[in-house]
Amino acid sequence: MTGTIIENLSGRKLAVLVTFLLLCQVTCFLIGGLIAPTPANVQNILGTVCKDTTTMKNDTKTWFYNRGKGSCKTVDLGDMHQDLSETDVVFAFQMPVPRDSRTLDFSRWQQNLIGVLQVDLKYHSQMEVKPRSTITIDARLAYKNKGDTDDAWKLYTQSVEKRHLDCDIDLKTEEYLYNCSAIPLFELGSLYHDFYLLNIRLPVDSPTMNTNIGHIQDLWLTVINQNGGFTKVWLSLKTIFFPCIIGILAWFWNRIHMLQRKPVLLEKMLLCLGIALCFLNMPFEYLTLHFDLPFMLLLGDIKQGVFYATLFSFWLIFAGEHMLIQNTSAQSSLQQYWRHLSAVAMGCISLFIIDMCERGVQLRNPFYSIWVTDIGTNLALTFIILAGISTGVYFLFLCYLVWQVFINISQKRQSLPTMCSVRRLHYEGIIYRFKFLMLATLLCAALTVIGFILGQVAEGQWKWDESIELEYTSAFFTGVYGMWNIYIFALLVLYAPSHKRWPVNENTTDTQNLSEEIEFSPLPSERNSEISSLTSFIRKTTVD
Amino acid sequence: MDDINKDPFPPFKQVECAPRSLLARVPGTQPFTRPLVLAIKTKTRAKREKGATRGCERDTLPHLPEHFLFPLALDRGRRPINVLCFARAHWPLEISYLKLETTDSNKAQGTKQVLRHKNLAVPRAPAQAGNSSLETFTTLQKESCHRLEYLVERQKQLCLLSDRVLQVLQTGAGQAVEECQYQFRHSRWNCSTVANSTDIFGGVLKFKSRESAFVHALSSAALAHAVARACSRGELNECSCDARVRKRTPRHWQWGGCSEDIRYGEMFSRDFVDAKEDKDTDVGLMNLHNNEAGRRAVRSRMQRVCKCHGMSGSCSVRVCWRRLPQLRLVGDALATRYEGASHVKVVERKRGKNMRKLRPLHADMKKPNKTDLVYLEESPDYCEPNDELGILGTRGRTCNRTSAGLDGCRLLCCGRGYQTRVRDHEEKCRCRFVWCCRVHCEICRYKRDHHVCN
Repeated sequence: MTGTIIENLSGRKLAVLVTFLLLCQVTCFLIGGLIAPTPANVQNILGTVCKDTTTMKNDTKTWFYNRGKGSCKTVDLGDMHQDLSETDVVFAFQMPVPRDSRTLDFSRWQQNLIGVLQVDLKYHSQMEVKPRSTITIDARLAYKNKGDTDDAWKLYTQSVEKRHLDCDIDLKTEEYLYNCSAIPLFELGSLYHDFYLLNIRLPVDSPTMNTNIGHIQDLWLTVINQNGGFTKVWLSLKTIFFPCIIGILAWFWNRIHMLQRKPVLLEKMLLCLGIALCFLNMPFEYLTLHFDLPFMLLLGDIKQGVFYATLFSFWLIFAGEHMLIQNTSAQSSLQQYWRHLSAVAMGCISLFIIDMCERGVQLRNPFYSIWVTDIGTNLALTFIILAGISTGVYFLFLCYLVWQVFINISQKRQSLPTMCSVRRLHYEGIIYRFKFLMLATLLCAALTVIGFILGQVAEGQWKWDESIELEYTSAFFTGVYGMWNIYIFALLVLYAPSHKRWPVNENTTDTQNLSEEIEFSPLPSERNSEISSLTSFIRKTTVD
Repeated sequence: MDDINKDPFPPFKQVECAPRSLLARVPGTQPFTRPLVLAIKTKTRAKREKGATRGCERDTLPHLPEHFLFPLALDRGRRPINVLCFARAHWPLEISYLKLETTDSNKAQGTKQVLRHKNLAVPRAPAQAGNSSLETFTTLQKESCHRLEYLVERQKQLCLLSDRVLQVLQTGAGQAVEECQYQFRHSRWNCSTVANSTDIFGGVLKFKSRESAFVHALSSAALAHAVARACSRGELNECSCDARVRKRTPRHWQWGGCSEDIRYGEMFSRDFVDAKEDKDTDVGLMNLHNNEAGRRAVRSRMQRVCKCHGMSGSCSVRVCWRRLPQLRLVGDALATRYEGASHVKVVERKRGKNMRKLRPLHADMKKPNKTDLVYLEESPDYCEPNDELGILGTRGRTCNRTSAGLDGCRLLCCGRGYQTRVRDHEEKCRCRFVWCCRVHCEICRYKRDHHVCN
């Protein structure tokens, strides 16, 4: 009969394979740390206060900018006695800002653009700002491309949005500024154009609108975009991993088809996992270099979601398949796991709903945020809590299953000394390798968590040596990404059916085996259905 | 983050802090420290006078910032400053007003390429300044930079970088004065600018005193701050993208983004302000130290803000950045440093190289670190008016009768006593701010005691 490759692989070969994979892992980490720049770049842009002298205030063809021909007339907000009304004041943010005497432009490699607004409010003892007030923002985003004239701004999107303004102040003294929380303003899923311009007005259309926001001194816009270098490195990794995983998947499926039996659940799950990983690895980003694809952020989330869902399901089934002890006759199917899998499904669906509510709507209106309205906040919180509960339930299930597997194994261990030496060594090998893989899983998960925590704790660059600068955040991302690719690669390789036959000569050399051979015979299905011997071993234990 | 950013205040040094109380003991007559405005030209006034000569006018007002580190903005109003007051470093004393005209940026485009340097810190050959390529610069710009005769050659070069530099310099200087006057509003010397002495601060800075240390640190900080703000606004095209000294790979913006604006601000401030100081003199050494302390005060006050934008908005991907602090906070930090400033002396070590270092005056004092202010001499007596030094004294200053601090009548009036007058006081009250630009207030009237130093 045949087993999986991991059972038949010699220790030396296994060591070689593991070393090779570890080397790949270290390479991934170092590529991120040494070649890639930080994942994201931040630019702080101070708003230029422009004076709108036009009579038509709602005209979206008039744009205010502070650089280039036709730049706006600026006003100083510190001067309180000007003949200005709120409709005359426009905050202009022209992105990106020039550097090194050159006009910079966004590259499509930079992928996405996130805008965060920060308000500098001056304290006046006579008019204190409430800790939580609402600010209404009329935001208009325009774009321009290289080669266009300085004033050729075209409307990208426009929206009137409400945002919460949380401000407090420690030292209540005149002229000091409030500490105001940052206001997430927009998220663009694609950075298709070269230049962007944001014009912000703070309208007063109703008596209560924008009246209690205090004395605005400055508006800062922080724009975050993915770094082009990081995208290049990331995309290269994807381009390498994608064919590798496709290849190993084809090989794996080919191996299963060479068998007489139908593929078992575990093998199907492995296939699903491989496909999910392929989906994750698919370098869609190449398309963004030529087309305007605003749904890339959403797609990225969905890809990750699908992968995590499959991985979590796989772990459940992997643990479950190793102790299906009762009904040996029936082929195990996905239905048996519906209770466990519903936790995964629930969590994923909750997260998917939030994502669709936030990033889905942002496809239509980049300024949209679910967190602004109370209903939206409650809805989002509900689903997040639901997802949290599902995760908790899932891990309880998983721990329970794994615990049971280990109990089964330890029970079998007790009966091991009664077996003949060859057989005992063989079983011990299987147990060892099963544990080895469990360990690998735990190690991967632990490394991910530790890496994440380290990244959060030690923000910024890590310096081991004066001359070596390690970009830790990038290294963490590429390292973790590489790790899960390698993990699944290893699973596909090690859990593929082996062509090797059981060593037949065992029986002849060891006379004791004769008695053991009898033990095998009561299991009728064993020889016919070529189930992986790992599961068959555990099933047999219960028959014993 | 490097350790300088942490910048905890060092323990208060009692011994070194003494001069404050010592000052109090010095009795004196009472000059009046006017918060003097040397020359104010508002936009409107400038307009009125513009008709005259090529946007440049002369005035017979005296004096020039000999010590002062960069052109001083004397327009203390909050209007866009269009008029710059320049002063010559030497007699004949005259101040010329130049109206800065925003030059067409396209015109200057060609020159910028030539003038661009990779690293500000690399000195440029002076010959380049006289290059013919400069001609595309508006003559006004060139003229205004060269008119600033108290600038050293390097500073003129930096001034010529672009047409906006001068404006930024002016903003920085103006804010430095304003902040200094705010921080010293309760002190005997209230950072007054003086008309008839040889210095913009009335020669007070000629002493290598605590106050001088503070003013230098604040000027340097304000310039770094102003430059960083101008960079963020996109006004200064010259702001460098990457100010790192060692670059691993040649990186451009699209690959790895740009460094924070404050880095360029600091670099510019270091290049501009420090260019004036001579490392071989005692005062130069002290000023260089204080300038650096000022810049570090800006960096250490930066506030960190983070944003999560991972999968479904989770915090798996987090981006953090630092915000430029309000200059007031920097001023506060430096004022604390001013109170704990170290009295130092210059020590020469002739081991191999001729090393001159600042060491505490007494061996048992803590060695000042890079963020501390240092001074070499005790402050002069600020109680009495001193025309030679431009000290106006404290006569006529309003004091606070109930305060035990420096603004209390006992200390501020230097023991000369004070007069109390009852005055009708009008104050704006019950204000309501109407976005954007109006404040609706009522006027409240009440009587209040007013204490004035003899």
